[in-house]
Amino acid sequence: MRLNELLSVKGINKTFGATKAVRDLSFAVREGEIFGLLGPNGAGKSTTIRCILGIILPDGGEISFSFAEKGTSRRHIGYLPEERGLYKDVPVLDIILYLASLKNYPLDKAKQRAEVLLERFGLSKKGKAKVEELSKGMAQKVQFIASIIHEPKLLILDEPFSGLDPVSQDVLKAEVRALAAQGTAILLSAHQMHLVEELCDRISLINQGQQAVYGRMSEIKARYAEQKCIIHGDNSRVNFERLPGVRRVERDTARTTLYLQGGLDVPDLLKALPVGTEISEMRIERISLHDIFVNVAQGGAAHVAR
Amino acid sequence: MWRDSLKVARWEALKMLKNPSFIISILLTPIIMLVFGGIPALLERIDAEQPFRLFVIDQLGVYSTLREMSPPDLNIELVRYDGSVATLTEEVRGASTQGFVVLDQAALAARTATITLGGDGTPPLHGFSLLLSSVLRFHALQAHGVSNEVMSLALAPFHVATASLTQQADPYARIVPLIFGGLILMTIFITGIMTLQSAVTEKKDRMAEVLLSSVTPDNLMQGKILGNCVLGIVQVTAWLVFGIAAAHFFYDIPVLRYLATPNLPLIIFFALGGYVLSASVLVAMGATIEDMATATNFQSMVFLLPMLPVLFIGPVIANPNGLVAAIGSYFPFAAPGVMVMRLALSTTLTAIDIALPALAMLVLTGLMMKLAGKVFRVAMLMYGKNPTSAEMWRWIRQ
Repeated sequence: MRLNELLSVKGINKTFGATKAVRDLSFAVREGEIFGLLGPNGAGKSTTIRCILGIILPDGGEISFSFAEKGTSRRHIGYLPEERGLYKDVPVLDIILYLASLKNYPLDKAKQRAEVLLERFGLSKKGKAKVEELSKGMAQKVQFIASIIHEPKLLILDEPFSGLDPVSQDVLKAEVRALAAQGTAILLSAHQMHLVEELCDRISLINQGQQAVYGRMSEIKARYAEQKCIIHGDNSRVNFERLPGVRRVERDTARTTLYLQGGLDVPDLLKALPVGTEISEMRIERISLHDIFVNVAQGGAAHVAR
Repeated sequence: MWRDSLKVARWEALKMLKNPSFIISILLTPIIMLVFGGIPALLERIDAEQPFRLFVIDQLGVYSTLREMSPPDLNIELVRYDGSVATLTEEVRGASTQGFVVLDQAALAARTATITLGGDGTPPLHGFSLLLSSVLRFHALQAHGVSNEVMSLALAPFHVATASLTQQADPYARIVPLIFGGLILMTIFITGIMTLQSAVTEKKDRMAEVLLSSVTPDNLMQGKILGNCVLGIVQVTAWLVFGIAAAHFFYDIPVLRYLATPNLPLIIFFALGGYVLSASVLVAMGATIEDMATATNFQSMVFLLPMLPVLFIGPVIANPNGLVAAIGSYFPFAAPGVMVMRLALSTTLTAIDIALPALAMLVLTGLMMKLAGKVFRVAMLMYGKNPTSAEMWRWIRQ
């Protein structure tokens, strides 16, 4: 394990009956980094996270933490699960302090931190309120606070932005960035690709339990340095498929997307557009993480790998 | 780590103790039991205060004797009637508090006197029936010239009493520990259901995954069992205080003295064992339930396991050293309850009679906790459906 790697996952496998949920998955999360663990539903993300947390044991492979002896890692990990919930009939502060106590975090420090964090998230007057009295967004913030109350070395966030309004998303993004800046290693699983692009330093994109893409965000974008040309207009009868450098064409009623091969000269493409192409609006974009994700989700790892 | 289990236990106990509805239920239960026990008797007394008027058509000349010997607490007003049976029948028809009896030679010959009731209901006539029976037998003997002195001697009732070489003569010495045992069995059931509800709620509130990221499933399960055990003890203590005060105040029964028997620690030991056994199964079953309303038939049947001792109550009270009691002492899930009853009722249990069921209970409890732990750790993370019994069996075998 490299010095700044707080979490190292090496070749883990997990099978449930006949289903191979995770296959030979490896990645590492470093101190102060925001690492994206991405994949479509059922890809094996939750299973991987549960293995890291020790809730279930992998069938093979190794998971190690630089910050804890074997068996004590739970104390230093914060976790916000996708299946969110809190005791409905219990005051907010009681729940936060209970979860802090389960992490062996000192009670007086937990009280102080809870006050600060509730204040930061605009919930300073809600400490004694029962969870059932809070809005869904507020409850989600409380659960986030509970996941970081014990100053974890590794924070695992599973879909932290789902259900939050844009303002709350910004607050959470800022908090996640601040935690990373303080040295917390963050493992983020999310389906909002624009947020992942914005936040993550490195990602692992998995599909059907296998790693499809892994590395720094900038490297991945460079590796998949393809572009797409989006043309608005009725071009249902225009044949774009035979254009040089066009790898794939997607059409809907009033829009056509041409996926271009890497290194294609855009002016050459424009010159080659067939006569009669209707263009009310046209954009050239680099393919996004969203496109990579959709490709992987639809076609598996091999589809993306070139 | 037991420290984690203790933290969970503390939380489970405090969460409920801070809950006003739990406190109210502890206080209300004895009051409700008192109300349900007392109100029917009170209502019965309201009706009973109105005396039952019994007309007597006396052709044997026993009316005066009957009237003299009839004590006031029978609450029967005797009225001699000289008219016809047909007229009297019409007179009392429909009146629930009136009736008549014809005492004539035919009744004497048939050795049957029929009290005809005017209306619906069953007035308390048992005492009067015994009195009338005595008077008629007296009359029959008198007709054969038997002297009054001999008749009195012959008809004076003989009391047949029982005495035991082993049991104390004072019935409270057996009844009080038995009631205490019943209270404990009831608490085992209620508290076991509380652990089940705790697991269901935690799963329903989606708290399970957060908790399991901090403590092991075994710690979580043990904490729940322990925490709810504390609540059960609080509950029993509250009810005992209430019961002891009520028994002392209303009946002058020194409950504490009767409870302070050498068997009390053993009763508590078997009660705790029974609780852990039931609670471990129920908490695991709670983890398999998405919502109480969606519990399957199999799950519902498991809920009833802690009720098994009820099947043995009759035979064990009849003979705490009999074959059924002996078998029940080893019968899974019934054994703790049966042993609580046997310890309260029997004075001849040997050390082996106690030690072997205790050992069997400990082994079964340990095994059940292990199996329940296997179900609990998988089921708590299962969302969206209740597992089938086949799935649970597969988890147990893994």
